[in-house]
Amino acid sequence: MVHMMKLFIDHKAALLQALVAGEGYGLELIDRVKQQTNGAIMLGQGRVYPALRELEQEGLVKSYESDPLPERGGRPRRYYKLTAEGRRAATAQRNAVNGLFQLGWEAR
Amino acid sequence: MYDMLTVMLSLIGAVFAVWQLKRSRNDFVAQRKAAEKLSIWIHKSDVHLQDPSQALSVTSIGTATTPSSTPADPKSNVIFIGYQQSHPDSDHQLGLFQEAAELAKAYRVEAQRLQTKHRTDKVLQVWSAVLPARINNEVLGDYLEDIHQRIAAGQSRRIISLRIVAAVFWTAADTIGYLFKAIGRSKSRN
Repeated sequence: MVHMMKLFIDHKAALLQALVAGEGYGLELIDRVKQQTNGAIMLGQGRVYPALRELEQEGLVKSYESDPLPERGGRPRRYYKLTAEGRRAATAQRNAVNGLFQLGWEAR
Repeated sequence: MYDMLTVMLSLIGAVFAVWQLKRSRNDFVAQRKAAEKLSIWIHKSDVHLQDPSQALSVTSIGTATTPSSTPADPKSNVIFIGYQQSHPDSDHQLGLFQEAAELAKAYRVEAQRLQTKHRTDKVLQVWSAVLPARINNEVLGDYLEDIHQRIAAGQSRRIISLRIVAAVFWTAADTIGYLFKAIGRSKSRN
């Protein structure tokens, strides 16, 4: 059995990568990151929303509200999606991280 | 300063959540006491397929609360079966009793879920009154959706209670941050 170590990653970086796959709301994005990393990266619900708002203020994502839903007590969901700038930032981030990980393996 | 305020408000929120949980439980107990005489009946009639004249007609299968001192405990619910004793087939009767027992079990589980859902909604509804609209819709809405999913999955009341406390704590912390940023933005504009 492969031992999976918990990874620590900046919430904003993780959310930006999660949004590359498509738009989503807070809970869905947390789940997406968990599923995609087999539980190695778990975003805390308490820190996700401030991070999403910061990304929005930086112009990397934009958001909109859905219709009110009964399972949320009549509250709407707030969906986030990447802007063009956000997509560029996500690509640059991915290339940088890929470069970092390749560095160690090439040196072997 | 900011950290202290966040911690203070979060602690107040957590205490408030616990108090509300206790209060809503008391309300629920009072409601159940008032409804003790009210039985929920699932009407069902059974017809003997081969010989209708030999049929054991079950007039009603249902569950009801007992007049116990702890009516809020769904385990105190009992099953009632009403039938016309016109059939000597004991296997047939046993089958009906088993069916009734399954119904009672399903009722108990559903009653527990409804009770937890009702209490959760009530606590978070009161708490939402002091939150900004965005935090209420987005953050508290997500917490509520998550809690409803957990209730539907049959998770224990202790876990649900912890999630409610977490929801109150983090929405309080988020509100402080949100308001401080909003004040900062308006000051920088001026």
